[in-house]
Amino acid sequence: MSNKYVGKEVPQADSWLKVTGTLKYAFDTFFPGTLYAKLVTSKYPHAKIKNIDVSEALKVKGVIKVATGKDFPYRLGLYLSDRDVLAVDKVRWIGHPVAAVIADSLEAAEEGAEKVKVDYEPLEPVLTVERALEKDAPLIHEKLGEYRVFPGFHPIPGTNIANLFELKHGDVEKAFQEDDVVIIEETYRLPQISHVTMETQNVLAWWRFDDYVELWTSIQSPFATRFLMADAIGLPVNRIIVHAPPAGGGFGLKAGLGWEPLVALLSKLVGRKPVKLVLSRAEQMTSAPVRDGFIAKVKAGFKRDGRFVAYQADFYLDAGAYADYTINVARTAGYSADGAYDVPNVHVKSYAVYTNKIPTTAMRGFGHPENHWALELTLDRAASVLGIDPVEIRRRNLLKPGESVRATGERVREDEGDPQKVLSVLAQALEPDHVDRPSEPWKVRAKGIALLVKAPSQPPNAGSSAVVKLNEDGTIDVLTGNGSMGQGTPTSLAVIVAEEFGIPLEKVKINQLEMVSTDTNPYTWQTVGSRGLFSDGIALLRAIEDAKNQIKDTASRVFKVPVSDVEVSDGYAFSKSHPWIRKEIKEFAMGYTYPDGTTVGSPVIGRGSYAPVLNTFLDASGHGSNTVFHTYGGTGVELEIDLLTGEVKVLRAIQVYDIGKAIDPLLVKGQMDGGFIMGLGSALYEELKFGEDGRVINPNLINYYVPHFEDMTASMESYMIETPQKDGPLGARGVGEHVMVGVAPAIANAILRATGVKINQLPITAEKLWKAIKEQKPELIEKAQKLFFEEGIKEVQQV
Amino acid sequence: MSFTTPYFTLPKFTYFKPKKLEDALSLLRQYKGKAKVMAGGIMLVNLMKERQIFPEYVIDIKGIDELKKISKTENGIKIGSAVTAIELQNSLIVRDNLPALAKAASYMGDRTLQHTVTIGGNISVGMPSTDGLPALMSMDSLLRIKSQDGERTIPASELVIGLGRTSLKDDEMITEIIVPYSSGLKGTYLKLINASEVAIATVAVSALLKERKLSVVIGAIAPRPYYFDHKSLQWKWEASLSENLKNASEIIGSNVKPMSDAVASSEYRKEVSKVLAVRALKEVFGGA
Repeated sequence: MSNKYVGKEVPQADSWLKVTGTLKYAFDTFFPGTLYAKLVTSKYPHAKIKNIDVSEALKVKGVIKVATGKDFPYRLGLYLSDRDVLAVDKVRWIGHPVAAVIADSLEAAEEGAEKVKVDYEPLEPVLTVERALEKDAPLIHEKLGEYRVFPGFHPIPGTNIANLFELKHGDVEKAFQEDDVVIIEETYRLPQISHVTMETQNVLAWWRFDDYVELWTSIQSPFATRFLMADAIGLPVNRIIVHAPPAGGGFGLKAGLGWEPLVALLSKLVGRKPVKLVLSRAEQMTSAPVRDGFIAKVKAGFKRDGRFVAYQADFYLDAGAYADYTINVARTAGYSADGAYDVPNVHVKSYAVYTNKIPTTAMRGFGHPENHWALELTLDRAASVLGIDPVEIRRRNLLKPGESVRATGERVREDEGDPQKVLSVLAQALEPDHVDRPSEPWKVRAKGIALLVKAPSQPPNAGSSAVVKLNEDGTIDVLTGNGSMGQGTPTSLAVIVAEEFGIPLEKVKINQLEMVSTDTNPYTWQTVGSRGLFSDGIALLRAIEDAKNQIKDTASRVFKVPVSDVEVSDGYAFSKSHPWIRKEIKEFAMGYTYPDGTTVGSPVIGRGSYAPVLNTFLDASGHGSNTVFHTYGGTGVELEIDLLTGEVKVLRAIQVYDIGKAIDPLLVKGQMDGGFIMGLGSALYEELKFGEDGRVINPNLINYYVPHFEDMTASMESYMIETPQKDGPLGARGVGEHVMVGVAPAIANAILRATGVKINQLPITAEKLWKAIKEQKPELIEKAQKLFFEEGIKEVQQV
Repeated sequence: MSFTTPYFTLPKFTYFKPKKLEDALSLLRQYKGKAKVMAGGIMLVNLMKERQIFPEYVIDIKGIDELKKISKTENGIKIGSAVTAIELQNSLIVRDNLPALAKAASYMGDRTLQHTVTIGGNISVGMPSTDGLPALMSMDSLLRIKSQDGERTIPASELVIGLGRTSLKDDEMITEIIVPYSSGLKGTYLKLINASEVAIATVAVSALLKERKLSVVIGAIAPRPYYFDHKSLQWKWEASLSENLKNASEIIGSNVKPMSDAVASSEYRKEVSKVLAVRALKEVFGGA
């Protein structure tokens, strides 16, 4: 079959609506009579709520009701039910929602929110991981032992440890003591960062008079939202109808469960009127979750020849006040700590730790930007100490498909991808040993690389399903449960359908480009972890096969040939043995009708579903089989450092991924470029800063800088390696999250290689780098200053 | 100013958009102390949204044509206070004759905001982050300030009297900027920010050379910009450029006392001030 669409560059199907500003987001949803909700949030990091006085708020014209935590005695959470709907009895961070004001206008709601008076009794706040782990530290969640916990997680009641995951493989202690082992010890840190979705979280909820609850919300995973909410507030699952229009960015923020229970309950409280809550940017960055802060204490042992023999790592994720999702980020960072390498001795302890700061959740990369920051920097440190090339040290340690075993005990599949090829393509494109002269004598050019591997982190039964419906004219409607948030999966699914039936792409409609509704779309666990195309793609291929079988069945009766002789492709059903016997697919769409009206067959509707095979939870040593595919990748950068100011300019970016099959290379390239820029932001600029009382002091996009157009790296190259995944849809693997993981490590590694300066903490701001150079290699700055201030000045006639 | 507000809405106020300057001045007098002048509104709207100020009246001056003019005479160039950053960049008068100002305008906010930011608003906010003030000060610019009582003219260097405070009285507004040069200027404006667009400056430097007159202004590092001229820089017109640059960077380094804040430390700002000053001087002397 010659591919007409698969492997060709197809723009996203909703591009026209996006560029014309006419795509409808949840934000745009509005009904006559909709009321507005506004949050009242805590001014203290840790305090008992003594009293909430709403009387003045209720006097504001337009204010209808003020809800407080006591109104909603439910516990929320995906992996751990540690969240409340509104604060009950105590507040756990500055920004913790304490009350919600509902009014008939936004102005009234905001004015009402100002007038809610809350009396607090301050408690000692716990603002750092270090303090949280001390024996006498105040407890942030006294009732941790009573929360519901998902299988495979281990909170430690009576402490601030929301989860401890441990991975043991081989014997690190013994390995460290062997002769000829060089030991690298480092502590690495990452700050909390924001997802910065352009569309902030927003929900419109309507608790109907028939006790069905309808929600229009900006989310990634409508089915998870529906189930978690139903489970938390005790409703049958199908009483909740979640409508998910395309989201203006997700990046993990909009996975799991968000504000839906609160807004739905508010709707019920005000007499079942629709209520809308939209977070401002400041609220998004103070009251809603962000990415964890991260500390890694690492000890790594390498033989003189570069063999990576032992890796011991303690990870501490600063989870903030709630860890319902972050406990899985911590677990994932732990079980995949050994990355793309075959390390015979591994011991990892990964803690998710409560603090009285903004809560945290999933974010693009899910533990991998964290653990690869530690791992990939450590490899370059080792390379530098051992005098081995950074490419070579990786080449010697990469996992071998079909042979190696990960620290979790999982065998590396034969068809998992080709890590050696990723490395060699990266090295060929970047030429790390060839460094051009800098543009000025007081600058240095540098090149650096990082590799990565990642699998979706999901429960063993994370399933997907798909439906393919043929219409009267041969057009096809496709339904999956996959949220649409700009990632491109729906377009790739449409490409698969058009290719498989051999019909023009315009004839395929993917309904989730407009809306995924839990009432109409088939189930998908979540749209996270780069699993969408893989899991929903497999389900969709099964649905296509089911639909084709229905067509074949009817066609065999019409053609009077055996079913096994009928093929469906290129828009036709035909007999393989007598190919001139053929009819267009549309003739069978509603069953085949003879001229006299006799009909055989019936409307064609294909269904398919998928769940991972033989996956398990990990045991107490972190062992088990918990992945469905791994995608290997690598990032290379060429950059220039101004030694006078510490400014870094990335001149060239190279992204290499073994994605199995590029179903739509344009979208893959879009992911690689977009992921690079997102990674660049986290590497150079982004950091949520905290005041002494634990408040976020830069909850806006002036003081929290994300890359703009002028920050884009001028030259971005992407390379797609296609080692097919046997059970992947057309051989494909996911890539959406991977693309930002290697960026920061590649930049730090380039800096190390060119200057010998170690940077262990992001972001690498100009001042931070300048100070690090000044501390570690002052001679570089002195030399640059001499060149700049004294030499190399073109003498000119001054007047 | 930290921009931490959860609010979408503004406090209630009455809005005026006069077409004539006299009307604006009369409103300012009438509601003295309760009114704020709005040009681009970038800072004003944010301060209101932050609930940091509650003006009862807002007087929008963007409808007043005479505040939007740029004109050139033999004695200098006049720029209305409601001229936007984009208009400055697009004006041939500014581009050809006042390169430092054109460049400074390209740093005022991002590309979108530059259609809204005005030169008058940018300087009269009185914040260290102003891009306009260092450029105007390097060119010895004057500010024409009017109220219903009449007008006065002050050097641009006397506008800011402290962090976020200016010498403007409640019923006064800047109507015009007068640059006392109309041609022959060599000038530049350089800025170090921790990103390419929008972010708050670590250091900003404007330099000007006209015949035997030299000035270097360093902004963003203190409540008021630092002004140096050839005298305070002990510039020796007969000596080599490299000798002068070395000397000037040392003088700058020992005279500036930068603040430390969330953007940058004092130590770093001092070092970058020297580097940017030398870079700017190299540029205006053509010795880069």
